[in-house]
Amino acid sequence: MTRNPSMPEPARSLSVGNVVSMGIILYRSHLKTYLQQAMFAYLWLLLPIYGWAKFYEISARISRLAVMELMSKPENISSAMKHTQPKLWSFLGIAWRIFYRLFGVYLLWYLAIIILGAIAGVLAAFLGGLGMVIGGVILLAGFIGGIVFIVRLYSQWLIAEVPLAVETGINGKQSFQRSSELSKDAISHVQWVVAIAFLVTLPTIAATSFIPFFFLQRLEEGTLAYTLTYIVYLLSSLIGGALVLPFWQSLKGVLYYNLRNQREGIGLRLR
Amino acid sequence: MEFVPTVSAMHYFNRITIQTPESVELQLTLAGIGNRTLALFVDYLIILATLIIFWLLWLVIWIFVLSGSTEWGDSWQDITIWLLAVGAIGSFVIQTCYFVYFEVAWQGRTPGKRFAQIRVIQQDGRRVTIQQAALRSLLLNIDVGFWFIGAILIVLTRQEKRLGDWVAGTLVIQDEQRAAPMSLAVSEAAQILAAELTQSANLSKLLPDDFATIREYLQRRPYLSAEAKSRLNVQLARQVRKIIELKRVPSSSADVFLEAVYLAYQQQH
Repeated sequence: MTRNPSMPEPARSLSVGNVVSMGIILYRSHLKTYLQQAMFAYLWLLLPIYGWAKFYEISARISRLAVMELMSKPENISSAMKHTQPKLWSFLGIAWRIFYRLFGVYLLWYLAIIILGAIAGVLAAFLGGLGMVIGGVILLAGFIGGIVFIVRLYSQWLIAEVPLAVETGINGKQSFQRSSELSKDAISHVQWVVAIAFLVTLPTIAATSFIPFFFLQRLEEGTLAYTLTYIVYLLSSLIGGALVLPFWQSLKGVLYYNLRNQREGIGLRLR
Repeated sequence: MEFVPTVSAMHYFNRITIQTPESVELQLTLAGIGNRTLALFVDYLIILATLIIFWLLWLVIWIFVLSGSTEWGDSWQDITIWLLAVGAIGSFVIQTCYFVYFEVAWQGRTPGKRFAQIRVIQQDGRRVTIQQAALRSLLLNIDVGFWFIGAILIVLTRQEKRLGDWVAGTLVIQDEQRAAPMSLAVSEAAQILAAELTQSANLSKLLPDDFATIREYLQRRPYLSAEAKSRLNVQLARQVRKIIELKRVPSSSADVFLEAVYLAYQQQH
């Protein structure tokens, strides 16, 4: 019962590690195009509102390019742009929806930490050493619990802009909901992808953000050295962001493709 | 816009052809940075948990040693330093031996690698030796510690070798896709229908590829959306009926019908 080797295998679901690897593979094979667009996107960020919308539109465009590549219908930048440019403001709308939701959650998390901290303090006061340990554990649990919860939410909305960039006849709000709908049955899968992708970007982010930041801390404010280092830090972070953006966007494209394949099983047909 | 199926994305991945000592040529897919990062992450979590337990024990021993000897006096600091050194060496040994033990005992798989479905092999496809595993494990510290040079090398080199792989002469590959587990959930109604089909239908017309597609559908249906599932099973059932020349339309649902065909075909092969 072996498969006929000349017949191509239907698109199987990719595992977590393979999704992340695909993100890298697609980025590498289109390094120049994706990176160029990412650079533009970050430059647009400097212009308020319109620039921010452009940033999200370009990011979504990169995801579209990745999805079309996987569907064997590769596009160039201008054809992709024809689809994403008209929906410019919808992309900003999606980003806003995610932002205010996450902001609310962060706020709640912050409050929860304060409350737990107060409880920990009370425990320490009344139970001495043991109280401190218990209080510490509760605080740590709250902190980690918050991180896990936020990662889960972020995972749910990770591919919010991709449906809008790829599908026709849907608006920003529907795209946002589609992301939840596609991810909800595979939320662990998406969370693991987020965690591993983050680790993969760590060397780059560390080099472009943490190192200059570290040097910045060692210097006196107001001095020339400080100002120069600060400028280097800003530029470096910008470059770091532009380096990493195409990876995240092509990753989102791969994930969208993978989830749709899993749910809609298009690859299944006889003869 | 129609969502068009393509060939498996796996063809994008790096492959390698190796010659085993028996002169068999194997084509294998390399693990890729995603799987290896995943495996390492899981392994580090397990090692962390082990080290926490180790240092808790160390704490107990430290307290025991110090409290059980009041005549030490000022030299308690020396004792502490000495115990810390032992603890540090112990931590290093645990971390190194973790990889060596599992990569040798579990045929190239640590728990993390098992989770990520990858394994370590030699250049010629044989199992890793203990020396190779030791080299890999020791160099892992540099691969990670020296600005993740290992990750960079995996992404940039053709054979995805980090320093450890390069020095030890090993490769990390993806486990081949195994044949699907034969225990698919099939209903009783399907079993009855299967017996009937063996008589009334021409199952020999069904090709191995058709069977594979039916099996794949049955495996994937829990993950399909409701509308995709109802569309697919009707479509597949109709096509299968035509292939096996079944004139009478079975009264059972499309799913049960497909399960029955699956069982009947399996029984005959």
